[in-house]
Amino acid sequence: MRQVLLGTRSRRTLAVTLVLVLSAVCSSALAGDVRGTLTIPSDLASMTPPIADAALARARYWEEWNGFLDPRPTRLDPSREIAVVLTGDGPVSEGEQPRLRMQNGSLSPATVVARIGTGFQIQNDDGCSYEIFAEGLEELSPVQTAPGMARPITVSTAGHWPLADRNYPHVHGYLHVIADLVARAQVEPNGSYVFHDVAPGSYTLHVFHGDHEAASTPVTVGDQHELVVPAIQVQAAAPAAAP
Amino acid sequence: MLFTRFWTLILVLAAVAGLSTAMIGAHIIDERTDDEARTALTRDRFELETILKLDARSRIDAIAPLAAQGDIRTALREASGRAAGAAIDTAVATRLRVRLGELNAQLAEMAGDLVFAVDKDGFIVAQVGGVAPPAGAGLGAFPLVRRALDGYVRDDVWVYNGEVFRMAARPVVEGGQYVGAIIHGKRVDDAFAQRLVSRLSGASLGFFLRDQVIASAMPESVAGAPRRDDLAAPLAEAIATDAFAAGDLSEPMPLATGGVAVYAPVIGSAAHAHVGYSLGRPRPLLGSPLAILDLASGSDWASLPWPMLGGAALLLFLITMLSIWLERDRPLARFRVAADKLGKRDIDRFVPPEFGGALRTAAASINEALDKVQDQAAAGAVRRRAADLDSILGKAPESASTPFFGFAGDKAGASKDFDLPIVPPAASPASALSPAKAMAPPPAQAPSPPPARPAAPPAPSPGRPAPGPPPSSVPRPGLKSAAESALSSTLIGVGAGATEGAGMVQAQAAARFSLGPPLGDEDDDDGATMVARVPEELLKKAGNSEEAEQEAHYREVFDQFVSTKKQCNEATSGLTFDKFVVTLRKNREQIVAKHGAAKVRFTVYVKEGKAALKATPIKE
Repeated sequence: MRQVLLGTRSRRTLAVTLVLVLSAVCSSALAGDVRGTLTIPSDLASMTPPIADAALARARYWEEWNGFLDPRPTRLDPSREIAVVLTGDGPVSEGEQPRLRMQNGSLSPATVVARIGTGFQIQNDDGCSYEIFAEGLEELSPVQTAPGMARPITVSTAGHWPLADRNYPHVHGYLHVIADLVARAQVEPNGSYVFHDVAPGSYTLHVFHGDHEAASTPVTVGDQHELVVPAIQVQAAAPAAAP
Repeated sequence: MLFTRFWTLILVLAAVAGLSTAMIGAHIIDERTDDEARTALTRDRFELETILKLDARSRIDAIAPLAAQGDIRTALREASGRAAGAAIDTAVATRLRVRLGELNAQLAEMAGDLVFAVDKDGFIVAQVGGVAPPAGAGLGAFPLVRRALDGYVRDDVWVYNGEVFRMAARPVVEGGQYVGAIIHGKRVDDAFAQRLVSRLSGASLGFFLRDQVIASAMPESVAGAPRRDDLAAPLAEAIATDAFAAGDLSEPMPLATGGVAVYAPVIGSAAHAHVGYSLGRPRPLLGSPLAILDLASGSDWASLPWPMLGGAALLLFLITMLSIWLERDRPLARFRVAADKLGKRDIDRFVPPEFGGALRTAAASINEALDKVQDQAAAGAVRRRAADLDSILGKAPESASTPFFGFAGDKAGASKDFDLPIVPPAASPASALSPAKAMAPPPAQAPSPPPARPAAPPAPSPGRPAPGPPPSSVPRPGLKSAAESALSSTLIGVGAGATEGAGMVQAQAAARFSLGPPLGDEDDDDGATMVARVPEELLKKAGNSEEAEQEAHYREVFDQFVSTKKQCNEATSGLTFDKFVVTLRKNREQIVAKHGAAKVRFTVYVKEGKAALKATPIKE
């Protein structure tokens, strides 16, 4: 009899565990990737503001064409300036999130979107120290980040702040801290992006460029493994909107 | 002392004017020094900017060989040609680093402390100097590098890992395309600052990063040149100014050590990190007018007109001494001579008009004091005689002594003086005879009054024996005959109105004549003798004597009054003795009636520079 009771308890425990495991597996198996492409206009303005003539005079003594080869036109890497994120009521994506880095002398991406209370890091991949700070945000004050090191950041307040560096005036960025951030995607130079492991549900896809929202579209993730979002036209200067 | 005071005022004003001039001069010199320092700093800043600009150009030109060197171009072409996202070939990077180091060393003084070779996207392929960067590090977003990769030569100032570098960049062209750039940096250090200071004329120089001076130099030949700490002290304040934020030169800021400095951000992106330079100069302010003397050189001293200055100083000194001698020493000497005469009894009182100013007042005051002392002494002497007579003669019979003897003053012996109105030249003169006058010989300038009675000796000063011979040796006919007729049983004295000093002496003299030598007492006062009764004829004589004495007193007062008025430069025309004596008598009668005085003395004195009379009632 006693053996029977123990066997019954063991079977119940085993059954509950099995159900939980199966639920987790099924849930994971149901999450899928969300892909898409941004159509970025060629005249998309850089977040780095042009230098006025007066300021230019204070920027250097000499700047002359080398005299041998025609100058190259100014190039813009939109993937370094645009952020694509999903917001909604669903759980936070457990997929790999793109890294925030200081690379090649600038913040990449320069538009940073973070979830309230969720930590993220800014990795310094360059050979010089940076002191990134968000003007008006005490949780992101200018702290030196040595070459090769990463700076952990957690922001507990929703809001939008410009980012800058204490030593380098060319470093510009913008920080958006929102409450219902689900996933972030890395924008490639060709405008493509991918959200990994997004659980089924209804979301909104936002495209941020600096301090303003360049585009947004609703996205519904079903049971399929991959959802392809139609191409999104990025507005050059859309008004900023709180997510 | 009027001139002396005025002269002193002139000297004081001259001294104040001189001091004010010196202070204004010092202030003007300080202002000019300050202006010169500010102007010099502005010029220094212009010169420094020019030097830095030329230095930037020199560095841009210096790295041209590096950018054009074949190995560099080849290596950067290879690095830039790698696949997107691929790592840089280590062999290429190593080869480029070595070659870059060699070429940099060949630049000698222009060799960079930090040199990069970057590919076409700005990623670092090779680096000389500094800490080796992590793989994948780049500088492509730096304006200097970005513009160099676009085909421009450029300069800048960077803050790189806590140090400040003067940067220059050149594109590297290979195969008709831009394959990278050479980035060249020279550290901002003390050696660089010293090199710049050697080209500035006397200014101290400091480069700073925020509130820290990272490099500085000061001219060795300039005394008081601001040092590193001096320049660092106001940094926080200077950086916070609007001018600095706008990239302009700050206002000159005073340094704790007395100098002045200006602050300006550097030309370059490092200005964003509050990198700038400070130029300082000493500002030798005088502070004190006396410090002007320290500025004078030997030639300055030699250029002074010493004879004229010495002569002026001597002249001023002599004028001062002369004024002191004229207005202080000489009158004092006169006063001292007069005082000596007074002490030797050559004169009985000062003559105030002979002196001026305070000495005149002092002389008049001394005269008044002498008069009061003598009056009080006279009153005291009379009262003492009464005591002496009582002790000598015993208490006189009530019926006999009371009518004949009395003494001036009441029990306290008090007397009261009355100032008479100043007698107009032809109206009502008044006079009084001072007891001292009666005792002492009349002053040289005052005519001696005609004696009313030749036999009468000078009245003794109260409290003092008469200076004349003893009564026994100087018999006077009038008194003597009276005494002889009275003999020992005769009362010698005067009436109630004739008991003042002179009368008493006469009475005493008469008593001595009648009684013989003093009764073993040398004192004349003690020797005075009183008897119980006076014969009628003696009283009559005594009455005549009083009138004569009174008349003599009036005459003496008149003469003295006239003399004093003359000394006071007052008119005396029309002033006659007859009119004068009428006024005196009238005043005497009024005073006697009013105060019940036995006698009235008139005294001449000077009041406010004019002759005046004073009446003193004597109660006896």
